[in-house]
Amino acid sequence: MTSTLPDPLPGHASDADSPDRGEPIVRLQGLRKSFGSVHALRGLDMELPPGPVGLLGPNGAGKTTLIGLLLGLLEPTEGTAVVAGLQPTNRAARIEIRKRVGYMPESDCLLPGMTAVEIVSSLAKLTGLNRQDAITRAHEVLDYVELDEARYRALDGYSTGMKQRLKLAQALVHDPDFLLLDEPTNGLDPAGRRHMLSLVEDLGRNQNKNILLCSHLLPDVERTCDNVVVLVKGQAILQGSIAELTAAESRRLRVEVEDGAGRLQAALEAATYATSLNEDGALMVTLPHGVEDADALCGFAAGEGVNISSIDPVRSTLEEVFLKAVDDSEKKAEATGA
Amino acid sequence: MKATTHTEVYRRFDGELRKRPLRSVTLAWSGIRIGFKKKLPMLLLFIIPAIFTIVTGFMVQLKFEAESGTLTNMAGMEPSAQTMAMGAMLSSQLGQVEVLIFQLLTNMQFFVVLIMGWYGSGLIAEDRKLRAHLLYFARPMSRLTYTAGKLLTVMFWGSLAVVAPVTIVCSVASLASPEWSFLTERWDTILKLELYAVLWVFFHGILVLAISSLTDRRNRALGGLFILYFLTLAGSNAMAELMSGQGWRLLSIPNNFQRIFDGLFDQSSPGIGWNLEASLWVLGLLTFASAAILSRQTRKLEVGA
Repeated sequence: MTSTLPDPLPGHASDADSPDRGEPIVRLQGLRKSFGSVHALRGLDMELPPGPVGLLGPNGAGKTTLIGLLLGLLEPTEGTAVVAGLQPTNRAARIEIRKRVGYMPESDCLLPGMTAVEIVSSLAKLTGLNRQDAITRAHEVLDYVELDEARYRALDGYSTGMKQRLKLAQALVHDPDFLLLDEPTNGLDPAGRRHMLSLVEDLGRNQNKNILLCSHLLPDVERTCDNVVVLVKGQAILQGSIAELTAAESRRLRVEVEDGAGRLQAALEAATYATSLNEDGALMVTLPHGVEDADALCGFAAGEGVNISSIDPVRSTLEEVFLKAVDDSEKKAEATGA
Repeated sequence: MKATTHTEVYRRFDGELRKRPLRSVTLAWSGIRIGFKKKLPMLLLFIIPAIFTIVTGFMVQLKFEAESGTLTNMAGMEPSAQTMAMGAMLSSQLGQVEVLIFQLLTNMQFFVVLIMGWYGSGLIAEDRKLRAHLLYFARPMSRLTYTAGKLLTVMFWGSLAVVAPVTIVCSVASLASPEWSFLTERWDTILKLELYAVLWVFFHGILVLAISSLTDRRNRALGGLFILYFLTLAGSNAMAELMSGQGWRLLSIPNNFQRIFDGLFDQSSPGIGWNLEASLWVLGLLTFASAAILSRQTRKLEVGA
């Protein structure tokens, strides 16, 4: 088995001029990881496209195990993981992967007593930057995350937001092309969260960084990522582009009427349409099988003497898609007795 | 390009990563820097070793100066008798200075354990508690490098407490002795003293780290070290008295080091009559056990457990 694959990391400094961002940044084939009788990952097959990707999943879904495998800290029980064109089967490949990946852990993980500049420059030197580059680069990334004079203060007095930005800075210090961000908005107030998301968005959309964003906060993923993977019980139950997954469903409609919504609802329900009345007075209607468009609704409205102001297809939120996927997965597991 | 809520532009890094950076030294230096920032503990821990060193340095200096008057009195003697008397006097002087340095080393040993325990017990425990190891192992760094970095940190503090004082006092002795005689005549003793000090620091460094790796609380690690250390010392001495068998004393770390000290410097201590090899085996086994614990625990840290 060869440890390296010929295709290098898209967008890496060595091939920075390469316009090709179509190569998957991570390829997993039949990836399994078991700890004794506990199966953390159960045969993952997926390709993470370049750009920002959200990794969603409930607690115990296998997200941390997946991160460990991607960083080469864990060895798979079965299957292969190719990260940035490298397969972490030996020490040299694992070391090479970690040079190309920036990891922002979820936990606090910063040693008190040191200043932000000291931490970031030390970690830069540990990655392999020389002393001068490490100091310069530390200041550059601390500028980027907007830790101004605070960078010279010991960490002890830092707010959660400052610590989170510092953790992002240390992940960026060696300018990796692949960022693993674990719950970057954890514990942040709304302003801090907005700031962090704007940084992640900038890195993914403007700086062409490949990002795997692990988060429980679906709006964060929806805002910053183009693609999403949903992991449940060690299996990817859903993956794809967020735009496609949340695309408007032609059978669910939002109907706004001037008055008489109740009458129209009663008439539709009598004709086996599934309906519900929103708090804002809009009627949510699901077309039954056999009815292909909204024209029939107009007939019912005319029959009841109700004026329709608008009919719009309903776009799902990522939260709805996620919950439905988790729900379906649980039902499937129950049915198969897994 | 910049995002909407921040004003700074992201800059690419166009430098190169070094092929073989000294990562363990970098890690050690950051640990040492944190230690230097805590000035009060440093003052309290090092004040007594510093006083011991200064006092011993003065005593060594005085020992040579006090005898310089005797040399003047020998001026009227026969040349051969004068040479013999001077040689005997110098030999006696050097022997007395050696004893002073041995005393310094012996007196310092427990302070070294205290200092290394203080600075070393949190090195892995605090990383585990704060999960700081995630930042290290996500970088191109092996477990061996991580352990070496931590060991260098704790050994630095230990060396500051024992290797540095021994070096300073030996330097004073060399400078104060006539014609550098302490350096030229007793170089083997100087080397053995340094070797013994380094061995002491290395062994205790690895022991402290192994204990630190077993917990996520610094205080627990410090407590564990002292319990292990003093319980085995008191227990082994008590058992040796009760059972009338010196072999029990092998269970104590300081007793084994005392045996090595006796072996290196041709000394004999009361109650320590076993073979040097036995002590080397005991300390070797303890070192191996500590290294095995460290290897297992750092593996757990590496995989994020």
